[in-house]
Amino acid sequence: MLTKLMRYDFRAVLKLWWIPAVTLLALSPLTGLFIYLVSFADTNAVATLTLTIIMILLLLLYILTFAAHIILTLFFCHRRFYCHFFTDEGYLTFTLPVRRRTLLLSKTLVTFIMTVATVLVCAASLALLAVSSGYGSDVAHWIGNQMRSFLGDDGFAVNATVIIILLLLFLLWLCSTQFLIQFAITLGAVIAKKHKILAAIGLYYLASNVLGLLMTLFMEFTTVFTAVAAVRFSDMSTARFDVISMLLMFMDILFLAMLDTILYLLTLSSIERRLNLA
Amino acid sequence: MRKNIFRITLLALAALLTLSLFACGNNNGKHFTSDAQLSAITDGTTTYTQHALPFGFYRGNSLGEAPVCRYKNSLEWDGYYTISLYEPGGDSGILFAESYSLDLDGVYFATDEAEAELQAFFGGQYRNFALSCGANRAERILVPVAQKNTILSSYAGSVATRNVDVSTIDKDYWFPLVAKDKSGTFSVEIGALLVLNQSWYYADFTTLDNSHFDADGRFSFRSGTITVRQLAGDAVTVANALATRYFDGNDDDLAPVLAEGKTLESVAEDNEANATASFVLFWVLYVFAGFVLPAAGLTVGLIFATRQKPHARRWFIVVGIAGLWLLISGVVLILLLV
Repeated sequence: MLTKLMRYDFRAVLKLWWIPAVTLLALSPLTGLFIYLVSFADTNAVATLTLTIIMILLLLLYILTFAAHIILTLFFCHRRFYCHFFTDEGYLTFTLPVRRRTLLLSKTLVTFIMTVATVLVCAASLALLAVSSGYGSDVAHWIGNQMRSFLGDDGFAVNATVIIILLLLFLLWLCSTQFLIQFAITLGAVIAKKHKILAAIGLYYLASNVLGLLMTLFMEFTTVFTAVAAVRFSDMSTARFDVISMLLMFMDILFLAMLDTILYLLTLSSIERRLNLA
Repeated sequence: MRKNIFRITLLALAALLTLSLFACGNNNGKHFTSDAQLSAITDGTTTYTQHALPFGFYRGNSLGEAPVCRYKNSLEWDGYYTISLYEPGGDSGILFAESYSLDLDGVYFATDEAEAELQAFFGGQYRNFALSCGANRAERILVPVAQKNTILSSYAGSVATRNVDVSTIDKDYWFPLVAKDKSGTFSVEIGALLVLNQSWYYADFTTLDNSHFDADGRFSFRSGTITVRQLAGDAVTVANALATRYFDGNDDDLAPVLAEGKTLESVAEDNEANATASFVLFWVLYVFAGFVLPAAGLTVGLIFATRQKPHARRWFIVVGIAGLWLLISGVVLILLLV
């Protein structure tokens, strides 16, 4: 049943999602081509001016499409979540012979997959832009340098572990953003009889500020440890320092995992127990 | 009305285009040509010959940032490649070439006169010197030749040597001494001043083998041991003065530390005081992030597991995560204290 639900959710979101995605991917090489022509082509002044004007306009359009693509993905996914559960459409949704947790799981998985797809489309469009503008090797070189300076020379095993942890942290952060919006929409719909969306937006800002403060304190703790360790734990062996650093990163993961689980379960509880569409 | 707006827009665009034609004028840069091997470039009056940059020398400052260049023009080579040409400084007689498809990083073009100057520089006749700080800082101060000589003479006479593991060097007190050519275009790090146990030392790069340098010729802090010599007499005064001047003028974070007539010793005391404050903050944050937060999660999980008995199992996931978190915090605490 989950597969069927996901299929319908995907259809509903993809119906419009592909438009900004394809536009962004099509704009990338076009914008890149004009950047290339302006930067590298040996042309006279008039042609250069014309090319520069076109390039600036295309670049503006590209940046707007890039931002629109991210915002629209969030909008499409969470609009589906809101309409399917909390508007008149909800009456039909809840008559389906499906458990509410399956309904929520379907929306959650589809939103997560679409968010990851959006991130991949954005990354692909940037890569296309870099390659077509003639700066591909420069960008690759820069990324390589950044990675080398960030990861240092600690060997493949350590670097691979750090990359996996960072990737996991990124995915958990994506989840927390998504779960927070879903939680705010659900709570807004539960506590407000009218202006549910307004209540959801207010709750989202309130909750995101509180959680943002917690996250800042948590991240600050890791930073302070690194600063303090150099002076106060200077006799600590490198191996022990590495183990502690790794465990602190696991604590980051557990922090986000716990936050995500609590937000998801609170949303689920509200949908299962407190929803009153009458 | 709509028609009128369309006409006005068209007219405005035409006017803009015409104005831009006048404003742009002609492309009046020099026209460069080269031979088939790209071994020489000429603009008709001056010929620039290609030379390879020797190992250890680089363009610009100690961070490898290119010097300020003036764009000269582009050059088509081999019927396919477009090469952009830049000239650093004023009329230095040196040209750099950049191309999307060709790797021209390790070469430069110079007139015969400029090349003779450069060869003397590459051979060790250094004209001017600068001191930079740390491995990642862009700012530099000029070092008068007399001060450089004082440091190096003291270094040469010093008998107090010390072996240092390069990975343990504090980069906040690592000052590479950079020599530059007459035009200020090329640089080479000839050594570095460093502070160890509140004393000044000098590391002479000219005595080190290639294993101490990266592929681009920069000093490597990854591994290895170097021998450094302690500075004495006037050299210490010079080094203190240089460091104070450096911190005074260039580093926002460290400027207040040495600006008010402070010494390196007082800097060390301040650092110790800051570290103590950070140490307290660290333990406060540690208790909060390591114990208070997971305990809160644990409480939430247990409360909901009790209240929602049919769904208790899902809330035990939260309890499990919080428990694991507390466990890891405990392990970290033991590792920190034992």
